[in-house]
Amino acid sequence: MGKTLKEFLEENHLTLNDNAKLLFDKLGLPKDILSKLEEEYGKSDKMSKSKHNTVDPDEMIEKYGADTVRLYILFAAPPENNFDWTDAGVEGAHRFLKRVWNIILENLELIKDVEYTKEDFKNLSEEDQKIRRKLHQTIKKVNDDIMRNYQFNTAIASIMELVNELYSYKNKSPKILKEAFENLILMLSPFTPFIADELWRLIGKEGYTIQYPFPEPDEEALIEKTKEIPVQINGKVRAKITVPADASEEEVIETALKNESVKKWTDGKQIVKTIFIKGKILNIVVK
Amino acid sequence: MKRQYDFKDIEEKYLKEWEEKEIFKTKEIKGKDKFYVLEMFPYPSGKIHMGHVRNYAIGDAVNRYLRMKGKNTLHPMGWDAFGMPAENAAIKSGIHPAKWTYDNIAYMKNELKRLGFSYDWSREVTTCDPEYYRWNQWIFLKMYERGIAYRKTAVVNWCPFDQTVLANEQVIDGRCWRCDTEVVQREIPSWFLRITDYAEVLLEDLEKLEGKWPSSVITMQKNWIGKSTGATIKFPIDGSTQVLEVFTTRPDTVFGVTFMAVAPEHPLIPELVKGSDYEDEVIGFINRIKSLSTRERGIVEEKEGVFTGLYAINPLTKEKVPIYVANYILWGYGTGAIMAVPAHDQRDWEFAKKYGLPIKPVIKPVDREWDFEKGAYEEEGILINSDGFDGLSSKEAKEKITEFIEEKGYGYKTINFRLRDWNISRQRYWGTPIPIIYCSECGTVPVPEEDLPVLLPENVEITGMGNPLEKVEEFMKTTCPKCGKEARRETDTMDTFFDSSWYFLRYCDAHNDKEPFSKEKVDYWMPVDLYIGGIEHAVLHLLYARFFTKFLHEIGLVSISEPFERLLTQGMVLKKWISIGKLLEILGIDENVDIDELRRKIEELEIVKK
Repeated sequence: MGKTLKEFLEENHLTLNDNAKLLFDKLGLPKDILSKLEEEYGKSDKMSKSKHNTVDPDEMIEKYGADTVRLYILFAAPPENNFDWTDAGVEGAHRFLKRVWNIILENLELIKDVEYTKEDFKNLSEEDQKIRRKLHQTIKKVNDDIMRNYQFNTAIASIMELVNELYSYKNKSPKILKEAFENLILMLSPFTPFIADELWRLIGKEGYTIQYPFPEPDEEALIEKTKEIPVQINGKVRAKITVPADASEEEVIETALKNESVKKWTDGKQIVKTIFIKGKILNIVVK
Repeated sequence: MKRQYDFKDIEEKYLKEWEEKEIFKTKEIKGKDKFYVLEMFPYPSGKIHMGHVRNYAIGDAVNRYLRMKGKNTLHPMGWDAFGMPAENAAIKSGIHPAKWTYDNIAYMKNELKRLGFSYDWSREVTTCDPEYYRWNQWIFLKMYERGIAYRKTAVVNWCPFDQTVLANEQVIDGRCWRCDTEVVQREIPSWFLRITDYAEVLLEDLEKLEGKWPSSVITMQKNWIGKSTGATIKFPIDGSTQVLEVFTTRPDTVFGVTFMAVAPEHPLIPELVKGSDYEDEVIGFINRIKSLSTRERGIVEEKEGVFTGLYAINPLTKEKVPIYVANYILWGYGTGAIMAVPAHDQRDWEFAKKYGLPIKPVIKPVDREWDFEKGAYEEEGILINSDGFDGLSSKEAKEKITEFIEEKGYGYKTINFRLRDWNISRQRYWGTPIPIIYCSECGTVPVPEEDLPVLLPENVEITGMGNPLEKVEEFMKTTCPKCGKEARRETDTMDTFFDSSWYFLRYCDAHNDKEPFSKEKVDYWMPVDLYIGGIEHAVLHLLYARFFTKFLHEIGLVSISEPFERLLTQGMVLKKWISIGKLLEILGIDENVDIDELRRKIEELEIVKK
């Protein structure tokens, strides 16, 4: 028969009010179990030595780096709100920086010696246009969020979204990637200056990111040039078609009637009526 | 093979490069848009904590962003380096406060650098450096010249554990804000700053901060300043030439006065009861109440008092009303005496009920009946039983009665503030010496400017009892700057809130050895465009900094009159935790469980499998 917990606590000068962390340490139990329990059942408190719920900045820097710590703190909540420090949170921030690092290094050869001007972005494919639009929307949002009460958390969230989109960007146009990476790095610079400066150098730039102007959105890229709109036939959506954003009713109908999914429902039928709301929907009534 | 993200390598490399290339250095550039972003400087306690990291990460992101947006930014850092923990460390482990402090600064500076914060370290300010605190002394002398700094014997909050005086703001629920010991009251000569001279402007200018500072901070400052309008009324004491002055915010109730109540500390009472039949009982009561700690006095529910045998005459009704010493009257607010109107003040009502004193209604509610047997009617209403003022509303009556009192010479209109003058004297070693000399011939003599700084002696013995400076002969003994005879130095040091009341100005010109700062440089950088720190400084530090700025503006040293354009009070970093008791609750077991069983139960938890 082993010891009871009561005896064990007495031996180790612990009480039921002490942090369970101390018991986990003494028993050599895995920390991740405790983290999960804390997240699910724990009580939020100000960090204090007496409660043994402090997180040491030096330890975190050692484990994840200063960039991760800074990014996590700024991402976790708006500056004026309290937030709970979690292992999952800081790990998430670290994973994000690795994703940024990896996507740029994977494409380094592709973009290294590439140069671009605005002229290069005139006649782009749909996917290229979309990713550029995402980039410039992000630039706009990051500027807006910082200028509006220093909302770094939402600014960082939109940069994370951009990185996700870059991962699913298939066309990999070197010029577009170069533009995206440059701006991504500069946008990260106020939050994670170390990785920003290193990536800046790796893509072939000089100096330090703080010495460069912060990105400004290309207003033209923000304009949606094409739009995807649903086509209803007798009240049911049967297809989605892509048309120029300012396309007229005639142009849209013409495109719709060429679409295979639409054809299935209109071929051999008589079109009684069409209702079109610009940029939103096309309705076709057939008999 | 693609390179992996090796943060350690990368971060160390750039720390070195940034430092070598001095890329965070700032200087005044005329015509370029400036932005001054400032985080509240830390006390060098030993190590930084996550709250610091958050505070500074926010400031750093702002600085880096605006720098990239083309602003000429100022982003400095320094150390609020005087204060008690250094002295406490000396008491505990014998390390000199200076060594303890500078070692901590070195360690923490390294931590801040490691985080990549873009400070212009060439502007570092350390308040325990004589090159900084000499200007504390200089500003003090300017205040002394203008009567803003003065010495008086006063009842002060005394911490029996730390053996030091505490400011009102440093007493939290009757306890010392640092060591949690119950605070007692004591009389001691101290140096004060006349912040009350600035009460009105400190209040008014809060309006300029609307929408730029959190409204909670503005409200806290308003309440702290605590302006109230009313009247001071003089009640002659029957059979004496003395008068009892009271302050009231409700002159409309003056016809309902049925007794007077004074604070135990009121100096008039012992004098007037001397030799009377009431003397023993009154003095006994006074001494008993005065011996209670501030906290005990703050929490007394039961109103208690003693009749003094004296009567006051209500100048408006000519009625004689008894004078009581009462435990619920505070010395230090108003005049330390009140006219008691039990019909319209609940505390007076309770007191009247206990001691069988009359309750005379003089205000009736506009729209309902009131049973004065059940309690006081404290709201405004219509005057009754008030001679020529009957029928007036409380609002009208307040004005009319105050005018009448002024006409008749019974008193005067008074604006009262809750804000007290700031006691800056500390009976401590690790602070700025107050630059004053006491001469038996010439009295109180300020140290001449050219003799500054008055250096803190290094050779001291710190025992934790009393003020260590009093035991340092070579510091204490000096000569009078006026007559040259032997004299004694002031041994009080300054409240460290003095140090932090103007440090943001010193960053603008951190190495000036001719003056605290050049006006030109301060005018270029000030105001601080964004100030970031914890909400716990909403009243103390932020009010003092505003006060100093207004004083320095008045004497022509700065052009601005408010120091901080925008204030961001950052939230806290919290951490969830569970107690061992809670863990048992989750597992559905008690502490009689076998250790191996406990271990098994933990490892089998559903949550582990997820």
